[in-house]
Amino acid sequence: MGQRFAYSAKRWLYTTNHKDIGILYIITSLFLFAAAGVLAITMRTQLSAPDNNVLTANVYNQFVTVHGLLMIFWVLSPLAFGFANFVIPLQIGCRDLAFPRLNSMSYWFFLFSGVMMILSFFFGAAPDLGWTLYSPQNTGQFSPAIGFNLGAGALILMVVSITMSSINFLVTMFKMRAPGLKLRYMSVFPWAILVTIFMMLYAFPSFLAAVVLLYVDRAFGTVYFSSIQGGSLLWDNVFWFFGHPEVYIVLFPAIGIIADIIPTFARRPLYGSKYVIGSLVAAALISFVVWGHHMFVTGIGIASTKLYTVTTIAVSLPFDVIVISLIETLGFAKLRLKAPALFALGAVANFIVGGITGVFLASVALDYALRGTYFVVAHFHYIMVGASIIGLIGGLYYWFPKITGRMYDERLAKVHFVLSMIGFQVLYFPMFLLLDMPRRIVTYSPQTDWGLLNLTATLGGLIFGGAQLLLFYNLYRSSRVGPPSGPNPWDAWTLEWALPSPPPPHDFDVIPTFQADGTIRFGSGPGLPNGLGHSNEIGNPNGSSVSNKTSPLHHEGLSPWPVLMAFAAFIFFLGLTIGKPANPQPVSYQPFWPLIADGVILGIISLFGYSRETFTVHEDTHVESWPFKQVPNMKLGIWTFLGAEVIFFGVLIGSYFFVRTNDAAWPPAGSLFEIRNGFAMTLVLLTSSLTAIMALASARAGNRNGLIASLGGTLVLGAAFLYIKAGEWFSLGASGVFQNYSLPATSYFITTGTHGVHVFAGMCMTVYLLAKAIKGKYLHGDHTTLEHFGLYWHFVDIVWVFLFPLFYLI
Amino acid sequence: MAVSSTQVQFDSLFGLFTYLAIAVSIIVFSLLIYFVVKYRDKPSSRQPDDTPILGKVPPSRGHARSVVVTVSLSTIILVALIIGSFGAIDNILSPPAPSQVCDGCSVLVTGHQFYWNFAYPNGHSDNLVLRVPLGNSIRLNVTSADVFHDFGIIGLDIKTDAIPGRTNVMWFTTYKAGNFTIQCFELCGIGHATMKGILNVVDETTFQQWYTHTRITCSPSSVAVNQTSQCTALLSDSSPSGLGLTPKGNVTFSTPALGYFNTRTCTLMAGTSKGTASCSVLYTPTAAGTGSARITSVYGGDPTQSDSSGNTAILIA
Repeated sequence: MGQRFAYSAKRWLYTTNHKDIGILYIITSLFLFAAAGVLAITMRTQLSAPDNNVLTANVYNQFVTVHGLLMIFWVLSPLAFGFANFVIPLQIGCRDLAFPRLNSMSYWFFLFSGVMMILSFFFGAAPDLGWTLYSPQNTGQFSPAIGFNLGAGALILMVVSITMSSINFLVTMFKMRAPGLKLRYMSVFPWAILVTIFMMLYAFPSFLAAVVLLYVDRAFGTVYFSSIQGGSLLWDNVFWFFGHPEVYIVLFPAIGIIADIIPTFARRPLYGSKYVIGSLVAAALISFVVWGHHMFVTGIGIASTKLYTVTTIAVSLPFDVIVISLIETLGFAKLRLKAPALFALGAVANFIVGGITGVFLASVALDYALRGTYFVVAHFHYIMVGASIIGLIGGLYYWFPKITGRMYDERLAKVHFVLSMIGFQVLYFPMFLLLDMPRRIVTYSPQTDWGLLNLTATLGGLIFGGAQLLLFYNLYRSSRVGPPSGPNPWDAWTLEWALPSPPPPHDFDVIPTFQADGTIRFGSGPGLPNGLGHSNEIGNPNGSSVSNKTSPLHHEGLSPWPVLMAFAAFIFFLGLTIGKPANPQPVSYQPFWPLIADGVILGIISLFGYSRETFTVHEDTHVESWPFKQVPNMKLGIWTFLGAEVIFFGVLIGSYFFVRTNDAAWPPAGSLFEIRNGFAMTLVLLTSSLTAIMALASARAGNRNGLIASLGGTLVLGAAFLYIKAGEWFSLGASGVFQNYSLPATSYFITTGTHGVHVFAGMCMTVYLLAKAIKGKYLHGDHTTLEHFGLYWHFVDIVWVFLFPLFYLI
Repeated sequence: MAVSSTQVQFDSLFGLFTYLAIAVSIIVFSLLIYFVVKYRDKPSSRQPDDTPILGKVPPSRGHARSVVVTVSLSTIILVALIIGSFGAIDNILSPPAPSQVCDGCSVLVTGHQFYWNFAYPNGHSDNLVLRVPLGNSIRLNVTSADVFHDFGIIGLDIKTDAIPGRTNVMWFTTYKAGNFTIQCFELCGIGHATMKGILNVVDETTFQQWYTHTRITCSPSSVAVNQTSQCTALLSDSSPSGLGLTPKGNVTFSTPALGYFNTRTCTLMAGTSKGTASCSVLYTPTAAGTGSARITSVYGGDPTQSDSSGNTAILIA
């Protein structure tokens, strides 16, 4: 027993298998769904009657904030990406994601970030100003609780997790599709995930920059958000640039699931699938030009207000196409109303209501009345719960047999559906009628006529919440005693259903091939269902193996380093955030050094272990990889990462521009920083790019001494850069010019500091490369690592080429 | 019953949106329900002949015509909504200039954790009641002293953000007398739910009487340094009964400019016309400073009279 437990614990902690990680994501997000749901039901209880006393304002504000943050970041996306982890490799015919250990690390970062968010309740107070975290209330002056720092740290960890995950999926989906599997052969779910990943890659770095600026303001007393020149509007811009795409990020995977379920149960191909996919792409593109719509009251002028009204209303057009196509799919169908289909159709119905009321809110003219009211709450819950959660639950029932090999209880699932839909409407429809009631108020006066509608909503909430217990019970019980489902209980036609349920650890015995006519072949045999793969199990309802527990561990799939690295990051951030306030005014916090030191040491150990571990990633040679045919996986991953970095630095530089344009009293160029210093640093860094190129050239030529010399040169030049920089920092710090962190100081220290951290990280890589080079590596055609380092190093240098003129010359 | 220009405008635009939304919902839901009922799996239902099979990518189907029809019909509806919205946006974003509204109809609104302050041009300041005249255009300059708030008047269907360091203008015309609840619509801290105020719309005569309750005049209104000016505070009856009661008590004067008063406080004496009272002090500037001195007079009220204040500027040569 003990041995089995140890085995089991080791498997789940160290696993890098996409299916295990998918299951971990799904289970974790369901737990957090329950937790955030309990917060919601407590709040609904408080609001059931006027002048109620269930919660104090203090606790209510924390609940309302953490409920929103958890549901958006720790439930909706992770649940969707749990499915994506499990299903996408199966659907595109590869054996795992491109970077399995990175995938494991994404999960553990996600888990620890969730833990940190919940821990915030126990350090003074959790964040308590709504999930939008508006400035300047998010600064230390107005929200001094240490718990808020933990919340900010949790958000940073979460964004890191999402960025790693998006890079991983992007490389996997572009580079590792089965031979012949063209992008247009993919069903809507993988397409929706692909579009979501692109939105994540553009939106989340902006959010990361916002949270990092917020964090340094709180921890080090800089003044991005506590100054008038930055303040509310800076936060508004960087937050909503991320915030509007985020709405689609949590919606699209559910649309993908719905658009895979409905055709399967209707027994007809999706109507107009290419238009549906085109609509997803169009909506994603428009979502990046509507953020100003959230800031209509900030004086952006009549013309811009009208423009944003048009773009926001126009974003409804692609969704019209999607809904109509889904409905048209049902024409002349033979629609089997099983639980997945019911939830998918229910999600479509809710989405119609949520979408139409979204058009109301797209009109800025109506927003002047509806802003901040329960009408808004009703609208976005129709989208996020009614469409996303209901759609994702459809996905849970749909893939449950594939994941567990067992069938859920259909009757219980239908009861769950009916209660969920009724509870949902009773909960949220009354809120449309509360269009005068402010959001996020802990209580209201009996003189208002809001009592009855609120009571109704609370009753609906209890029905909806209670119904979810049926879901948990059904999933738990059916995973143990449900009847075996067989490989393809729904007679579906996407590739995951060709495998046994649950699929074996390595997924495919033979990687399938897509023929020009769309037929799928396994090896050289004929196409399914009589082909290779797992032909003995296809079509055999009892053929699936449910005794997976005893199967050997995925041979190449265990690594302790991802979880250790995530844990190191967790305690590092804990150390950064739980320190006591060092300064009352402006509030700043003293880091807790023991934890930080532990985090750094553990981080270095696991980084070392990670890079020394022999972990072979199977990279099939004959895969479909349009449009990145000539680009190896790792390189594409690094390009994608650098793309995200561009956005991150773009937002930092944009913030600098923003505060500078708003500050009439900005000191003239040359008065703050020695142009000579900046010039010297530019020269040093550009030379180091040259030595990095020489290192690669020496490696290619097999010249060991040249390689060591040029890597050493790069290291010395990097150190020289940081030396000059540090000198400048200290002299500026001592000069008194920068007392109390004026805005020029804030933007200078943070922007160049972030860049300096990047230079330092590059130097750490150089040390690693140098050690290997001295041992004689990289000389025999194995120099790709050097190439990757070069990409990163040149990027860091290019950033400086922008920073130099911006800070020193103008 | 019309309450304000903004409420009338909102109701008509919201009505347009609602009618179209209901029409679209009926069409789409009928289609959805009809298809689900008609094509659900039943013994008599026909097996579709294009059911895809596992092992083959499903053939693509569907006409571009369907997309064109959907997008065109939606566009017609959306254009109607956009045109309606544009008219309202023009109106909302074109407030009258301060000079175009009545004296006392342009008010500075400042959000504080957790109350609203209303400051009138005459120096009157209140942390609860925003009193405005009926049938007038009201211009509010909204800002915040601390965090992000949102100023909204329930029933008037108009709001604007109160942002520190920035002033947003909001305006409306009052159509109905009475009290309306002012509330904060952006979570601003522990007292958010009770961050309320009262919009008190009164008829124009009552408003003028209340607003000019304290009038302050200095004569001469332009003096040289070390030259004396006489400042008089004139109070008129502000009692709810309107019986022409005479205000009693003291008025206190102050200024941030460099200079001195012969006395800071004077005692009111009944005036010649019914229900008025006044008293005066002497002010002498001792430096030119910014070129003017703002003199504020504060009346603490008495059992029949509300408190009030007024201010005026003396030019210093």
